[in-house]
Amino acid sequence: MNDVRIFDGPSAPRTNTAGDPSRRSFLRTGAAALGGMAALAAALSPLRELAADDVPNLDDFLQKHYKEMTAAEMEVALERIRAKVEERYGVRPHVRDLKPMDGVEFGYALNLSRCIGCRKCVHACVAENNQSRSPEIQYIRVIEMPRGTMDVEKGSHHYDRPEVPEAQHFYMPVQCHQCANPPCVKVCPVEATWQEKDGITVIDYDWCIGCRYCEAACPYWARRFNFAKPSLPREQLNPNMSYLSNRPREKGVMEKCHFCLHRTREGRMPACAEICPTGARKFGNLLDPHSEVSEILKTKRVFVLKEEVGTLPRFFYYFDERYPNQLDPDAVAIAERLREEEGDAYGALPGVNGPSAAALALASPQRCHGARA
Amino acid sequence: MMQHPHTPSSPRPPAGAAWLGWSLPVGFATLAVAMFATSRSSDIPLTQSAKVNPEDLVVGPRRVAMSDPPTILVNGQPQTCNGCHRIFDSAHPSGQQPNFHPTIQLSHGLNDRCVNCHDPRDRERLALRNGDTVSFAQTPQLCAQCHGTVFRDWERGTHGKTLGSWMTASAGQRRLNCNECHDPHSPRYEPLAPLPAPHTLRMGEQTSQVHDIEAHDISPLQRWLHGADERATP
Repeated sequence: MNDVRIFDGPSAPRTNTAGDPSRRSFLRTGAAALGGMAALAAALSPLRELAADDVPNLDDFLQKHYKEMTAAEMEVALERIRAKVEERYGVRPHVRDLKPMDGVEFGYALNLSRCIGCRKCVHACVAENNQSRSPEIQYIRVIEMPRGTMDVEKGSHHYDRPEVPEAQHFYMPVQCHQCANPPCVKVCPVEATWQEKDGITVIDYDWCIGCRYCEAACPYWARRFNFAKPSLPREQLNPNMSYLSNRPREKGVMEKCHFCLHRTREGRMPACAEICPTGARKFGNLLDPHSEVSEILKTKRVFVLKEEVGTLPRFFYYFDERYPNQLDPDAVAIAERLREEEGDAYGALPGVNGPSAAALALASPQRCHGARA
Repeated sequence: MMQHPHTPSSPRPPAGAAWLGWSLPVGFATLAVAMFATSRSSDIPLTQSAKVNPEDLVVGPRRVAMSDPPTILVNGQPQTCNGCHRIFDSAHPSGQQPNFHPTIQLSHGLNDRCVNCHDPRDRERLALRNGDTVSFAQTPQLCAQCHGTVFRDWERGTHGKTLGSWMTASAGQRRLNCNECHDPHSPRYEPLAPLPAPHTLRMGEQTSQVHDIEAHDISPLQRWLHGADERATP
């Protein structure tokens, strides 16, 4: 009996081996195992909050990638979406899978001379595309920029004014540019996002794993992530849906502007273009030489945002040839300030004091030819 | 009584090993408590949904253009222009505020005479500079006389607004006339009140009121932690 000790002092000889556990090592291992299991249970405890319709069933789980589904499989998937929307929102939606039209490549043009920054496009888009209202998800960001710069870092999208436009600023809405060379598509590790034939970059919301690589890759801040379960009031649901566009999304997936493909692939305008009160937003088929966007590309001064990153956007900004309105003292003052700051690069105001001699000399044909010869 | 074999050659555990051995279960247990305590709350700030009046999102022309033939409400009844103007020859040469049209505010720059656009002989027609007249539905031809570059852009579709369809020559496509956006008497585009600013994640300043919305959904531990944050900030 004198081998049994209640307390093993530090100087006591080790009496146990691996094959013969003592009570002390049993308690220690047992406690560690118990603690580990408790931690595991705690880590899994968010699962308790899952509602019944959050848990994917076997059919959801086995659903194939969009491009691999046959027509019959797509119909089954669409029926599943209909049932889920009806269960959640009490509305039987009109969901279908719209394919790109032949001979169509969509393009967008936005007139910076006309945009007044009223944000109607932002909210028309939210209403059309069933984005989450809280936390808010918006595809369009209207940046209020100080006049005289094109540096978006100097802009703000939180402007809150009684009335717009404000004379010292211009307004530049930014959304998905539907690039011809999209970095977001390249980085997707699971091919859940790709470019369609008509130029629209789409997402299979059921295939996305939510890694947010695409969000990091996009130079236009166009992709949005559902950090929380999207919340959308029942009465605000838009029941006109398609698989690749505005059907309700789940928590943990990316979404982005898709040129309202459930509308545009049926010939209608995107919601943002149709609501615009000034006609600053123009949408159309780049392959049609008489479409509004083609005419703009031919006749207007067009630029793309961040041209140097090589994304080849299908979203173009343009200006009207417009001298400052001589009846608008604000515009004249800004133009004169810019001319003082930047010299004749901005050009002179006709009717104020005419083009400067230096500008005329620069623009004269003799000088051009002389320099070349 | 079983004899435990004494093995003097077995290595002694390093000093502090007993403490290390117990720290693992204690650490796990603490982790478990912390996870349970915080699992019900979300770190994702929820915002109040933006209040947008559905009337602000109605698609259509900015203003109602004058019908063709033009009419005016007199005592609530629509009347034709010539109904009065065949009696009154009211083209005031000075361009001052007309007595019978109190709602008209003329603010069209140098173009400040009624008869510059309105035909003085037939008030239901518009007068071109060459003496011809056009109907009220053909307003763009009138405007084009002064605003030539804008008219050229409008014809191409690079100025102005198109409703319905993006398809060229589609039956559903409708390009708005000049006077469906601009008031011909005061053509400057009036400013608008902007719709609400964004509160999107990573876009807005997520303030503490965000947490108040969710107060019922925050565990006591989280509330205490949040309170500690607030206490720490002066």
